[in-house]
Amino acid sequence: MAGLNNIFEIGKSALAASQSALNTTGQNIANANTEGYSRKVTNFEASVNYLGGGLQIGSGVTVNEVTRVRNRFIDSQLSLQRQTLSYWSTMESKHLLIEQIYEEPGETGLSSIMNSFFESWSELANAPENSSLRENVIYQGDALVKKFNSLNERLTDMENELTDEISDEIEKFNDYAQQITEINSKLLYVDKRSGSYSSLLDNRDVLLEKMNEIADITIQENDDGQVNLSLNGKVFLQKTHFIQLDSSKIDGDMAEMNWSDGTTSATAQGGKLGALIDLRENIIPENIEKLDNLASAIVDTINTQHKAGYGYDGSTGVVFFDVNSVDANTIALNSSLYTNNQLLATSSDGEAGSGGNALLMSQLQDSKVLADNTATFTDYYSEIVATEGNRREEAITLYEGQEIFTDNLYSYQQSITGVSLDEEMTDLLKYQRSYQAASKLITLADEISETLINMV
Amino acid sequence: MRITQNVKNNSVMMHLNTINTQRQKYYNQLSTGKRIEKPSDDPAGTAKVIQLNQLIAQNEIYQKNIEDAKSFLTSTEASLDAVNENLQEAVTIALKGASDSTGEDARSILADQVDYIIDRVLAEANREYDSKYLYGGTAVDQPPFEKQEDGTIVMTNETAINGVHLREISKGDDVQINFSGEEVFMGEDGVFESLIALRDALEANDGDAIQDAYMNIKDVTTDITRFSSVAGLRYEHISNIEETLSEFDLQMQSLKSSIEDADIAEAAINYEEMNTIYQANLQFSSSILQMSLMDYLA
Repeated sequence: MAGLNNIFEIGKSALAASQSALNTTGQNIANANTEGYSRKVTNFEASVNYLGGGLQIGSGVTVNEVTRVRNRFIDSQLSLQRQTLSYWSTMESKHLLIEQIYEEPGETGLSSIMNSFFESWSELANAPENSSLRENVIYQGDALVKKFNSLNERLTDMENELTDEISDEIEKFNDYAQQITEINSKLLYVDKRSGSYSSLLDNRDVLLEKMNEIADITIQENDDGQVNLSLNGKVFLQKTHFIQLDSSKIDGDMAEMNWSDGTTSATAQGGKLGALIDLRENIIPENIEKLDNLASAIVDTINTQHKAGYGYDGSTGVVFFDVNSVDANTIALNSSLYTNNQLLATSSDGEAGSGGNALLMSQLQDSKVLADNTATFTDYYSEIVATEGNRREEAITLYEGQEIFTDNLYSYQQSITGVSLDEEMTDLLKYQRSYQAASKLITLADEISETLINMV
Repeated sequence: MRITQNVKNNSVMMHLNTINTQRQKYYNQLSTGKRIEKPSDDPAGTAKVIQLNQLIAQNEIYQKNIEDAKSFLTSTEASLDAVNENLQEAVTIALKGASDSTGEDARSILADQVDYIIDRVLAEANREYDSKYLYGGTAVDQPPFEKQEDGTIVMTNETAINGVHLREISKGDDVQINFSGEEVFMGEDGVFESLIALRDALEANDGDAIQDAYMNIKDVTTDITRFSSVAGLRYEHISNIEETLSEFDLQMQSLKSSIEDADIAEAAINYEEMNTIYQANLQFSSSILQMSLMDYLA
């Protein structure tokens, strides 16, 4: 037979349970906008006292556990998509910087400067005796080499900036890995049913998400909630132990990442780091190389023709570009030209008044000397610019598509784990009423007791 | 689907962002008038524009060359006409001198007149145009012809006088704009030699020699007329090319514009449309985000 005391006990447990639920609701409301927070649900369980002879009687309610609401499948999908998103978002923003370096189409780009350069030769061909036209050719030639130098410099600067950025990302990566090992070790000592256990998991998931945005890591979760991480098949984080990514090796021409245990070289194909490495290892060097090809083709073609002609002063065999010009970085004018413009090889036969060679110089603009003698300088250059344009266009398309896809997935994830304030408000009312009802029960039990006492 | 706070925020942000990106694109088109600002706006179009720019720049050069060639040829034609007039005058003098009724004194006076003509033709032969000698070839420092003490006329630079001035008037079309001074004025029975022979014959009072000189000068006049008509033909060729070029230029400019320039009317309409959508979205979003159960709870 259930005693009067049992009613007090039930009331008390109900009060505690409601309070606990209100606590959870409060926590949910407070964290409605917290990054990575998944909503918590209080799970109740009816408690029962067993009397002898198969009889049982309700003895109130207990809070079984506070669980977080997650969908593991969507979580892993989302981190995969985030990694791709981060790759393309990095690609998109960096390609914008690269294509801006060329300043095309515009008056300040290399193509306009090449046009002006050849135009100046053509003008000089009509009046080789005109000193100011000779000066103009030197001025335009100077602008041409400076443009090549600055393009090369800006691409090289960008390469260096990428190196720095790669180091920064590696540092962050190591830092997150460190934090995850700390969480891994805490998970061992915390009660799985407690709110702090699920908070730890929330924190860990945020860290994993961030690591995923940096590189294409693979996550393997154990039963106890601890995670092991691997990158490109190499397990680098196991429970409370991890191997650092070493960025100190990145300098000079090779961006080589190594694991600090020295076993293997590391590489990332996805995420921000994957994009940065791709840009620094392939895309920027390719741009630099193509500009070098263009510069050295211009130097060779112009110098050959220039040497064949005669200057206004009768000189011949003179180079237009410095003999040490081999690429976009080293290209320079023959420094003697700056002080003596009569060295410009305008004449084809040694007669000062002949502009024959100057005319041939201007016609070099149409000579197909690049890409196996199929492309003019402008053809080759426009190809470089178009390739960059195509790359960015592709990056924009993939980035935008990926963003929509990821956003939708994120919305889906948030529809499961996110906090709905309307829902929480309803819960708030619900548990408030439960609390009121429980206190009513205790008052009632009290009144019964009083009635009983007064009878005596 | 359960709609949570973050779902609402996220979708509002996503839509506003998409619309804003589009809006910005049309705004940029409107403010710059360009459809292609960066290579990625249209990579193939950018390459095309760069190549068209080269063609257009080269065309400008050709047009400058054409202007230059035309005025050089015009000057040459005028100069040849002047030479021709002088020769006509010499023909008249020779005719008069050849007549048996003309006496020795009269022939001597005529000889002096021929001397003047020689000087005037020499001046034409040394005519300068834009710091070049019309008939000097590639000579720059001194006039191509010089009168010697003995009255004969020689070339100052026998190589340079045959130098060629070429003007590229369109791709692969290099037109020679000058005539060699040697061809025009020198040579056996050439302009100077015939005139000098006439003068000498008049001075020597040699009727037969005057007759010979008369015949020679008539021939030379024909030669000069021929040079003059060659100059005319070249001028005509260049003018034809010029017409083709300006037509070509127009075509390339309009092709470039069709690739590079924004359709302002279309961009303006699109921009307005995006503005409307944007405003509707803002209004709609603000009402969605503000709505809450709390507004209805006591």
